[in-house]
Amino acid sequence: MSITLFCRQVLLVLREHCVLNRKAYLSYGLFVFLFIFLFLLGGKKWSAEDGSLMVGQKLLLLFMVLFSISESGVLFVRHLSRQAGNVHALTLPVTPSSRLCAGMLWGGIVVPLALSVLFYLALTATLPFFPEHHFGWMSPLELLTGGLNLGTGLYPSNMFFNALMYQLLFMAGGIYFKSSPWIKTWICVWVFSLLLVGVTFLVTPLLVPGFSMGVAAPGLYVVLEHYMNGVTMYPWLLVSGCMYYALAYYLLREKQA
Amino acid sequence: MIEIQDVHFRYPRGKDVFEHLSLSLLPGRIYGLLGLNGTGKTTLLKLIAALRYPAHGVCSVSGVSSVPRSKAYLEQFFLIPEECVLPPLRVDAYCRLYAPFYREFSADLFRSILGEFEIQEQDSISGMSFGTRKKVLIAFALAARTRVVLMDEPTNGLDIPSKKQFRKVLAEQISEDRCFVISTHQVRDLGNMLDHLVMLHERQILLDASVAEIAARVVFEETTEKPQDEILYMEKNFNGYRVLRRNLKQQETPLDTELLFNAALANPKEFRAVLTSKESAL
Repeated sequence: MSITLFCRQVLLVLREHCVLNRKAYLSYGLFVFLFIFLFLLGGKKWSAEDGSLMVGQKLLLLFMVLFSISESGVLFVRHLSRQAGNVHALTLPVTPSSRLCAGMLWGGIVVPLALSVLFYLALTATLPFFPEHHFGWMSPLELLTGGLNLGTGLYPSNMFFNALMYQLLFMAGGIYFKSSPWIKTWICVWVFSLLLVGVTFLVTPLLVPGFSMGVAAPGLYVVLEHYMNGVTMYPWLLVSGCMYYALAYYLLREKQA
Repeated sequence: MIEIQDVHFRYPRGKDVFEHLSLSLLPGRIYGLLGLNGTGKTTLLKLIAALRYPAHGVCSVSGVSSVPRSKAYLEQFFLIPEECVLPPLRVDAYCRLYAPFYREFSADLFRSILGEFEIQEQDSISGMSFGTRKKVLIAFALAARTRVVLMDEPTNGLDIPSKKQFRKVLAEQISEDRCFVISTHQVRDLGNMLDHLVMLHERQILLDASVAEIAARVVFEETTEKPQDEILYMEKNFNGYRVLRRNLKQQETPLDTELLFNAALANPKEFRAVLTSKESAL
C-alpha cells in the first residue's frame, strides 16, 4: 500500500471519529475550559505569597487533569460501544495499521494539543482579573511542549507528558481494537502499552538530559521511587486504564454476542 | 468467489457451530442462506465478514483469506446486519463520511436507490424508523458496488411496499461479477429472486444446490386429495395438500422454498439422497 493511500486511510478514520463524536468533544472541551478558568479565578485566594500553588490547588489541578483524561477515555469507550453495534464501521476496508496510526495521532497529538490549548486559553482568560498573575508569562509554545509545569514546582512536573503518553496508548489501543474484536488483541495491546510505558519511563531519563523527572540520577530505582511517591497520577492512570479496557471489552463483547 | 474450506467454529464456552464446513459461492448468483434458529446463518456471515475467525479451516474471497483482516479482503464485501445501527447523521452526511472508504462507490446510484425507497438525502437518520434505516444501509451497500454483498434478514422491518422495492433494486444490481448472500427466514419476501439455496443443519450443509438443480430433481404440487402414491413430503393446508415428489417426468414447477425447507428438515438423510442421486435428469 502506498504512503498516499495509507495517509488517506488514516485521515478517513480520524474524520470518522471526529464527525461521530464532535458534539461530545465540544461539550467536553467547554467543560474543561470552564473548570480550569473558574478554578484559577477562585484559586487565587489560596495561593501562597510567592504565587506558587498550594497543596489543595495542586490536588484540584491534578483532579482536573485526571478528569480530562478519564472523560476523553469514557467518550472513547462510548464510541467503541456504539461502533460495536455499528457493524458497518467494524467492517470498513481499513487496515489495522491505519487505525493504529490514526489512534496514535488522535490520542497522542490531537487530544493533548487540544487540552493544552484549552488550558492556555483558560489561563489567559484569567489575566484581566489578575494582571500580576503568575501564569501570565507562559507562552503557548511552552504549554504545548513543556506541559503543565506552571512554574510552581508542581511535582511531578511532567504531568503533561504522562497524560500525553497515556492518551496515546489508550487511544491507539482503542482504535486498533475496533478493527480486531478479539480478546487476544485486547490483551496484546494492553501488554504492549505497559511495555511501552515502562520502557519509555525507564529509558527517557537516561537519554534526555534535563528531562524533568524531579531528580537527576537515572535508573530503575529512581524511577520507582519517583512513581511510588504517590504524587504522580501514573499508578492511577494504569488502574483506570485497566478499567477502561475492561469496560470497553465488556461492552463490545455484550454487543457482539 | 467465496471459498469456505473445512471450517470449524465454536463460540467461547459454547457448542460447535460448524464442523468441517466447506462451501463455494460463485459470482453472478443470489444465494439464499436458510436454516433453523441457531444453526449458524449469522455466524457464517460473520465468518465471511471476518468478524469472527474460524478455529480451523480457511475462509477466503477471491483468493484473499479472511485472516488477517486485510484491506484487500475487507473491500470486497459489504455486510448488512440484521440489527441496523447507524450514526445520528443526515443521510447525505453519512454518505460523505463513509463513501470515501469504497473505491467503487457510486453517489448517483445511492441517490437513485434512495429515490426508489422514497428517502430524502436531507433526512436525519436518528429520526428514522428501523425499516427506513435499513433501507438507507441497503442503498449504501448496493451503491458501494462491492463484489460480495452479505445480507442478514434484509427484509425484517420492511413494510410490504418496501419489500417489493427491495426486490426491484436488488434485481437491478445483479451482475456476472457480483455475489449476493441473503440469510433469511422470510423466504416468501424474496419471491423467486434466489437462484441458489444453501441450507444449514446440525453444523453441516444440508443443501447446496441451484434452483435449477432442485427443480430438476423434485416437483412441488398442490392437491385436494391426499396422495396415495410415493411422495417425499406432504403438508396439509386450507385447500388440501402441498406435496413434494421426485421429478421423474422432468416436469417444471415453481420452487416452493418453504415446503422444500420443511421437507429437508423432516427427513434430512432421504432429502440429501434425492438431491445427490443420479436417477433424476438434470
